[in-house]
Amino acid sequence: MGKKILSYCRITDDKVILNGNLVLSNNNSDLNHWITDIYDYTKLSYPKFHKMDRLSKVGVLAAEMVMSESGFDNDNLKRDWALCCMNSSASLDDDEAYQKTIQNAEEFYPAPSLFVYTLPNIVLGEIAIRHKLRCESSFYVCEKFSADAIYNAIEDVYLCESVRYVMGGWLEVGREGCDILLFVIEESDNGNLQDFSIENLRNLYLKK
Amino acid sequence: MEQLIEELKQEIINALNLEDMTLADIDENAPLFGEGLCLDSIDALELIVLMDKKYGIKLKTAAEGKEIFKSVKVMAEYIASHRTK
Amino acid sequence: MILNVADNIVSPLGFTSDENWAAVLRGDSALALHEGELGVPEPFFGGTFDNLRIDERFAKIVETGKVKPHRPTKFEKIAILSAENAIKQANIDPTTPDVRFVISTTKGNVELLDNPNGYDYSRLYLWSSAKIITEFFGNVNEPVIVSNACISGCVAQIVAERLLLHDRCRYVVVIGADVLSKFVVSGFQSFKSLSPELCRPFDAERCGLNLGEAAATIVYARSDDSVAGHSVVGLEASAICNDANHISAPSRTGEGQLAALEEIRRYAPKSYSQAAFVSAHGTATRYNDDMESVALERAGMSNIPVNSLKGYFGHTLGAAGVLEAVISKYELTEKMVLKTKGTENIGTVSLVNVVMDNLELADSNSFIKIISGFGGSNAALLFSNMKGENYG
Repeated sequence: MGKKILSYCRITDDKVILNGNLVLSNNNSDLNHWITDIYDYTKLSYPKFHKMDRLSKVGVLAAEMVMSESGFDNDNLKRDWALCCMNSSASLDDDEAYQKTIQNAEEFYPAPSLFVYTLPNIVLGEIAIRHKLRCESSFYVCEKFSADAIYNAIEDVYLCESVRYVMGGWLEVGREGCDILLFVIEESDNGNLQDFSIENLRNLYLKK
Repeated sequence: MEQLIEELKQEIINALNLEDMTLADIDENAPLFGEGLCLDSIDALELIVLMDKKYGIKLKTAAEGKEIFKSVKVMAEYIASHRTK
Repeated sequence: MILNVADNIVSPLGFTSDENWAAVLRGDSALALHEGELGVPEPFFGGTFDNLRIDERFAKIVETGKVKPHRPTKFEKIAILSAENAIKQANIDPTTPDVRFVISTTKGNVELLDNPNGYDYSRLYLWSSAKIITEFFGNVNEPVIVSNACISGCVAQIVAERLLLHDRCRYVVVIGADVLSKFVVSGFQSFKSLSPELCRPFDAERCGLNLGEAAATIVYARSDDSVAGHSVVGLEASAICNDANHISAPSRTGEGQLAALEEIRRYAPKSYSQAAFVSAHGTATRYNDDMESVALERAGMSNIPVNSLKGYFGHTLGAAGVLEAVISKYELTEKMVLKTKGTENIGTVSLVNVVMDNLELADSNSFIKIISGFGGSNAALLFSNMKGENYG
């Protein structure tokens, strides 16, 4: 038995890679259109999606792909899970959007639907709702992608005996664009799966 | 009133990001919350902002909004009699 | 079990834990009406610092910094002030790799978006502030930064527990800090979450929360570590659980909070059953306090004394979980549960035994801290007194 990577999804500004396969390429769309392209690709029909901020949108799409690739439905309540993600800019992309609604004293209309997304852990809330993950969820901030930091945080999550699966990774949407690596880990003896290790995480992140 | 109702429908679609909706999809007599459009508490707060921004009507609490946001028609009637812009 | 070796609170009520404890025992409150402040048009009740006092205090310690920060912000100053005193008390050397910093905040320097005030844009990144804080203490490790809405302060302590139990370091300095800004106050106003009067947690007439600013630090070590010799209260069990229900409203049935409570009970049944009181989140919003009452009733805790500290400090966001764990440590060791300031008539959907007058405790074995926040997050922490009558 060891911890294995059940499936993973890599989303950057120009491509979507799912379990090592290039599944979608960006034809010069800006970030908002690129997100819509990915939404269309997943054939997801989820009205709530349109209300989300960009970080939640991309996170929810990545989660949709890794969950379906690993064979999980989104109907059953899941308790023996944990969510553990990180990024660099927290919710700065949304902070800027909300700030615009309060910048001028004459046009001062603070927008609750923007304010609610000015916390980076909201994306995990959205993923938890979508997949009925009633489990631990925690969000951390780290200057740059760090396979070590993600690996260690998830190893620490497994100190809880009740945890069997972890959905974790790097969820960054901001000035530098979109940079996502999301994966599902399970304690398994399936030798065909990649080990959950720092080196493998680093490779998944760097693989072109 | 008809014109205000149509205008309001468009404002609601824009304010609440109801991407898949058209004016025809919104029944002005149907409840806005609970069924139909599947709006939630954040949408209600966003409607309070809409009332202020577009029509100059200030609502103090979310509870006040509850009565006014029963349907697009009720909302339009309230706007017609309370608007300051 | 990890032990609280030293702690410190920096709040409008005082610059040490002892000062803050003395203030709340007297019934003092940091909350006051603020009109035309922070660039927010609507008046609000909140607990804010006298900025001059922060500058005075900071000037006294700035020379001790290993790297003196260039133009530290208010957020950075209060975080450093709270940690400096706690580290001194713990008598540990923060420059050794054996020490890790865990920093909890919701919004850091977000007010720089409104007015950059000559600061570089990069100062808006939480890791940028965290670096300034750890460099001040000459710490070489990359800090862990927790940004998990209102439960951040409790999550930071859970991170400390895991770092220590996994032997990743010998000491963890947990810092929780947040300051008020136009950004945060207007956001809560847009949510209609702020009370137009002093907050009244669990009261039938409650109508919202008051925000507050503070920084609080706890230095943790493993209970078998010699440095922990003189300390008595520690974190014995912890759990985080998402409601998977709504991003801004808690589950009406308290699912996530109940699951977190059940998890800590499974882990430490004896200390759990002997808990002398529950330090609730008790923000005084309709939904939060109702949710907590439901979760506590479902967990079979309708009779246990419950209090909220929000009437003293306001909701201090990323600092709340740390600050309240420190005040409740005093409540446990001094055998005195503080009254829920501001509350007159209890009125929640489920029965909850809210402490209305300062309550002397007969025994002081353990207490439970619960907390919830945006994103559907809940956490429960069980703190135990190693010198308690029935410990071990």
